[in-house]
Amino acid sequence: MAGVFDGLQVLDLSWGIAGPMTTMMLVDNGARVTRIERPEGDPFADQTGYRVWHRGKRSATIDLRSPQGHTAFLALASRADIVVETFSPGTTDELGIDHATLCAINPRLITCSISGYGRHPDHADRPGYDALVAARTGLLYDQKGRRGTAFEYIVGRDGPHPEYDAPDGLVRGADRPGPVFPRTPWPSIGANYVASLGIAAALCAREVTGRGQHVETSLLQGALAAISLNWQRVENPDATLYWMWPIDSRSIEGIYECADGRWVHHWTVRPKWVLGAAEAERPQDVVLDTAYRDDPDRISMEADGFLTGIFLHPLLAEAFKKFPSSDWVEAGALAGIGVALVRSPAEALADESFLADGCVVEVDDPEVGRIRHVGSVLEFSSTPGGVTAPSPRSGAHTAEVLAEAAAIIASPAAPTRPTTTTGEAGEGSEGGTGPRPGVSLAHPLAGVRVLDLGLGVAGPFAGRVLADLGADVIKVMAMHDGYWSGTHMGLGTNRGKRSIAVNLKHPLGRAALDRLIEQADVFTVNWRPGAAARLRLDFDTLHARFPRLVYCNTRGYEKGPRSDLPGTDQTAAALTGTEWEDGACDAGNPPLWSRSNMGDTGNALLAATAITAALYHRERTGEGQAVSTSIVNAGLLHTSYAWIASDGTSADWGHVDGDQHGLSPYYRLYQCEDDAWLFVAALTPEHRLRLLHAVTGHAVSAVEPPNTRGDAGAALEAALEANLEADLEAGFRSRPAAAWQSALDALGVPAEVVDESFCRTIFDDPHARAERLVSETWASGVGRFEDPGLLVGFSDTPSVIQGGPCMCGEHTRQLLREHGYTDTEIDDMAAEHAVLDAPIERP
Amino acid sequence: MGASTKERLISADDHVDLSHAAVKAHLATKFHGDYDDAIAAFVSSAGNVLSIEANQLWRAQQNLGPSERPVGMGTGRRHAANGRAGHTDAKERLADMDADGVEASATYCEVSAFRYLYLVKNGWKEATRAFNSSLADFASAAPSRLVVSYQIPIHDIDAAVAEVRWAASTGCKSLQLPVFPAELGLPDYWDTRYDPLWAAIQDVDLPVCCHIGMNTALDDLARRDPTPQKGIFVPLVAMSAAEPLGMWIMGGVFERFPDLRVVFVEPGLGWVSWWLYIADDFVLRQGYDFPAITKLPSHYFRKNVFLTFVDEPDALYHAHSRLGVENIMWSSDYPHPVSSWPNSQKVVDEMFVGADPVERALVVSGNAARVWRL
Repeated sequence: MAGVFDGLQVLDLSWGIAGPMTTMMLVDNGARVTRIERPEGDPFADQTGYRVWHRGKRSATIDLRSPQGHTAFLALASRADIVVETFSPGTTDELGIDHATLCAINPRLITCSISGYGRHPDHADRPGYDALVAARTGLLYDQKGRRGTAFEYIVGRDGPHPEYDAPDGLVRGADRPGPVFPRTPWPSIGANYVASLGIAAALCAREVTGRGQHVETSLLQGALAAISLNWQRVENPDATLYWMWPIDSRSIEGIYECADGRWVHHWTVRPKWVLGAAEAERPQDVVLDTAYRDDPDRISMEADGFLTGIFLHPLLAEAFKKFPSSDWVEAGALAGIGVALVRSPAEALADESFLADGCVVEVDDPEVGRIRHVGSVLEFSSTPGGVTAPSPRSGAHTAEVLAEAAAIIASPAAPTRPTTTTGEAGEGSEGGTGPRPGVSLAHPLAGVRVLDLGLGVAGPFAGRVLADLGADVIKVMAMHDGYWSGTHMGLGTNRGKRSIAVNLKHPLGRAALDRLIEQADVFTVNWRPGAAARLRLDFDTLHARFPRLVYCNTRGYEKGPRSDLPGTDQTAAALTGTEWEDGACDAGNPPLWSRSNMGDTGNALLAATAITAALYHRERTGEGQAVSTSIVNAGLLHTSYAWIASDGTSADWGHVDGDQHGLSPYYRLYQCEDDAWLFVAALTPEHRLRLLHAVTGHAVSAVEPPNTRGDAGAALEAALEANLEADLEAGFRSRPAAAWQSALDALGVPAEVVDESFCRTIFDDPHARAERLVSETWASGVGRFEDPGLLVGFSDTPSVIQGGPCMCGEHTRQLLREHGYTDTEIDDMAAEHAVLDAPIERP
Repeated sequence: MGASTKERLISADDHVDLSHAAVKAHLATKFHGDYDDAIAAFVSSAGNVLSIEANQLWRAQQNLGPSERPVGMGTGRRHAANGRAGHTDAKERLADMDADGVEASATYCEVSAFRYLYLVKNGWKEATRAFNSSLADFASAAPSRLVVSYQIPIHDIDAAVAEVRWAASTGCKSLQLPVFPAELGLPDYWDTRYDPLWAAIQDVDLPVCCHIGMNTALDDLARRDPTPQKGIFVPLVAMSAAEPLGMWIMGGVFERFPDLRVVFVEPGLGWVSWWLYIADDFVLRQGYDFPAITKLPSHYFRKNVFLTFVDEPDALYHAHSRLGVENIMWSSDYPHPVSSWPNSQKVVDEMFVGADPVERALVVSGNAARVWRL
């Protein structure tokens, strides 16, 4: 069976992180990806992630600035399906490979641009390096959480219980105030997710319209994706249930050190079980017979729970200290409670259960031998992907690719391969004949109906992003879901959907769901194994009746011994190495669960991408299938810069220092005279030399031409190496951060002030509002509701914010009517508690 | 993103000459008569104290008899930039900037419109909008290179706030306000009547520029100055910026609006250094009270005030001793007689021989980039 993108030709002009990861998703699923490299080389070539992200691709060195190279590229583009680039704005115009030019020769071409800040007039010209975007957007202030929560900070309030600080002994990351640098490149990770989704959506739309289009996202939008559920501005933040403590920097987070010095992440926190287990001979002896929801001693997510957590923290810390981590992990597994060992990425990759699942794979690298790294993270029942080959040597396929270009130029009318759409499967497709004038599509997924039965964040966030692509998303809620839909997480995950609340244990409720399924294109859940089968809502059952249905069930973990455990954002971040690296555990720090961690939202974005890809496949073949992914898959993608040799030795992917400033003296945070922070990203030798001259006061003129410097510059750099960090720290202390930024701008050294208040100003930023980077809708309780908006743009089939977050049962009557129920029938169902009819009057 | 090898220069003070016809092109015809009347009234009331006739009249009043040679401004040397088409034409200006190696220019209108706009009987708001629109026309040739300062009349604060909000909505990068409100018969800037205006300006994050040019309080001196180019009077105009500096700082405006950025354009540097010393000394040694502020005057200066200068060899010396390297900005003053055009790169090279690269970068472009958000 071929991958879902089999037959697609991709030209990859990207570098850095987000672009290469995006094309990795394409190549893992069958596309033929050709990297076009510059003759002068790739400035990021020595990052360890390239060995992972470029697997299975071809590599050709072509100089796009030369007439021959340009002609060859245009020839390749004339037969390609997708071009991915990460140039700074305006570069494609300069190179003569902008969307309009390419589209004129190949109207079916999809171009995808991942820039630093898109076309935002205040930011577009800023250097688009990951850490600099994390600085400029203030994301570095969100890593430990903000005091009182980000949404209280945004409206200028302290949050509940301002008199309380974090409990003694609760340390996350570096024990200092100010922004901290996480190892995970969150803006790039976010941009990778939404670019992948955007490409899949554009492929889907192309099957209808026959046209390609331009897909655009940015690291700014990636940052917004990552911090999505934290940055909200609401009219009434005191609305019941809205405030939750887990993202408050003062709150406990369930990370505890055990007797063996290892850390575990226990989530959600079950104090009765922990304290009981600590009293037992072995914690494995204590089981808990209540589910989280029914546990009277659970810590609620409300303000009172915040205090409970602070009170209990020392007791919990003491309890975990009594037994080694292995006992606690085993005890958690026996009790069905989330306790995950905080592991390094190397430990994660060595996990045989991951290897057996396929979320980690082994490949034979031509340069370093057999290695392990993240596997294919999207799962398809009919069109499975997989890692087929290692990363190529740079330029290994130049001759082959240029020969293809020459062949196209020689016979422009006779394509060298079957064009685009039908691939090898061929049947069922009407596409492939080029643009169809008059066939238009309002949004990429217009006309697609999604039944979203997702739970928590990892499930429903997928529905939210599908709604933003224009799908008609029906949120099927349980009768009791009202407690969740008004929380900041509920609001952040349910925008643009309609809600029906159904009691699936009632025959009438179940019958209503069955009727919804009949008219659905997509059915999505994130249930534990067996749950779907028990309800006869598993793939096999539904596929037999509705062979066109795309069925998605995502998991917390890999398929294996952990499958039945409660999988959360936190446990996956612990298991996959994210918390280890973000917290600088190698430097002896405790782990850090980043507040921009994308375990749940990443799982959801992967699910949405898999669903969209499966819809693309269905458009071409008529065939539905099951798709899946997991929070662990997302976590492994977040640490995918890591690989280990088959003997277990780790590549050197760079670790954060104990003060969590950064990765090196040239790539880190510095505090300046005014106590504000500056992030410096001096990546090239030229940058570094200029930085040293500027900050350490060396007298070499910054405008001296590079060719007059030569060995003297290298010698200077070497001489300064010894005291480099201290000299730079002292130097930066001599001026305010903003002055440093403007000076380094003038000297051509990439740097950015860390803007703590970006999350406030963006909501009033006219460009951000006009481009819907922030969304303003309305929600019951909180009133005016603003949060991060559209994460990816389309030139032909725009994405859309369809409306505010739905509330539990808000559209029950409307949806039942649409599915043929009379008002009398609906009244009876409501009276029997088969459904909840809870309409809301919207302003 | 690459390291550029050519030095970035941003001139913090240049000029554009707008014609009244250009302004009136944005103004409904029904207001044209009143607009012309206001200009006529302004010209006649102001008189030209710098003219030869004014000096002759003053000499006659003083029974001094005629001077040996006529004195009055405008009798000085001609300069390379003088009469360049770039004074009025944006495309020509950009070409002149390219020739001079100047990337961007903070450009002020030769005309201080807030001196006459409030005299327009009917349609003064429309005339203000028309004036600023014609400035925007000039900048539209390259908005990121030609930074024009919209002029804000201050006799009606609500209207001023509205104009500021409109300006911000059009992408305006800079505002210009009168240096001496008292010249217009208005309270000084510490007066709370201006607070809504400061709040709005702080909110839209635009700098306020006060271009030193004329001070009618010194009219008598101007008439009395017997030297050909009024060389006794002219430095006093610059140094009289000590008055508004004090009003902004000791009057507590920055205490109440800590995020304002005020640029004094062309005041000269050395005397400000002394002024800052003595202002702090008043507090530290001489027992002066400044009830409207809680920190030393120099604190507000360093945080909120910026000075432009033209070709001053002691600039960095003054910056080091008291003004702050982050607070001064180089300018070309195109096309005025002192302008460095067309040799700005050379002038800068000479001025910064042996200078620290960061200080140089801040003064020739970095500070301006920060002030105007370029």
